[in-house]
Amino acid sequence: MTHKLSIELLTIIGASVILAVLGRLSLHYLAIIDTGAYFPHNVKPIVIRVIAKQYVWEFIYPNGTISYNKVVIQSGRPYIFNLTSADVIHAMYIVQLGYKLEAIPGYYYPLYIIVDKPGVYAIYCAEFCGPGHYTMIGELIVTSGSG
Amino acid sequence: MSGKLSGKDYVFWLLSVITMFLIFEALGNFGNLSILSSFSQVSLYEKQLFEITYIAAGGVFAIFMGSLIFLCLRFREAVQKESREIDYFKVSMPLLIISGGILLVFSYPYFSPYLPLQLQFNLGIIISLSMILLLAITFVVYKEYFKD
Repeated sequence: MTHKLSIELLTIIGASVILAVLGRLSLHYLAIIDTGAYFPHNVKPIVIRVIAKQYVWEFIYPNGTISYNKVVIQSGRPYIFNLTSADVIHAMYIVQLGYKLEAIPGYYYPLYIIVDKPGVYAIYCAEFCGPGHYTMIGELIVTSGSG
Repeated sequence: MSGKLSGKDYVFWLLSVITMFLIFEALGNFGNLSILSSFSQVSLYEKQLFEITYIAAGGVFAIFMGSLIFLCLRFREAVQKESREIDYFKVSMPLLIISGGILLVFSYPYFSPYLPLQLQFNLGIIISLSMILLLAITFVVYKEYFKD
């Protein structure tokens, strides 16, 4: 094998190895995120229904309480946001925490949420849903776990 | 010019690649996504993946761009230097570099992911000016080697 050919092959194999490692890691993390495998197994998650509609986020707690554009959760506790839409396609996007999921009419998709630090995090709609899309902003309020 | 590369050439080649890698990494804060917090497991996964992807992309970019720059300079056609009354290259290049420095100083406050909406128009203007400046530098360098 000539020197030139070996260098050429090395670049192709190197690029393939990088892509394979990235692909494998992405797949691994995607599976964990999609199934909520990072949740603690000894704590039962609290399920909150989230209905996205033009241009508001509706949160329905397990006891039936409804709130609009604001949801309060405890830090360190696992929650499942069951996400759907009442009209067009929306997408729940909590930038700082890296959560993003589509809300599609007729379907419920689970978003596995666990936040370690109390604070207020903005919730955006990441799917253009109409002229008022930019006003569709909510708040995820995370309170201290002991409080 | 000899087509065979010497030991010195290989050192310059390597330096060119390393410089490109460092520039790429410095521009992207070494793949550190500061907008993501570390308070959720998902954001930690995303941060880690982005960092690995960015560093790997930096390596690929550095190999290709570093090699391109080195090979272009090493095997460029020898230009017969003609004496000129006014060397426009020596006048325009420092001016452009100074303009770039001034632009960098002005644009420094805008390097933030939390830029208010009111300032985003200014950022657009600064980016446009940067592109015009890059175009001017490219043109001046091009004319230095290709007179016609």
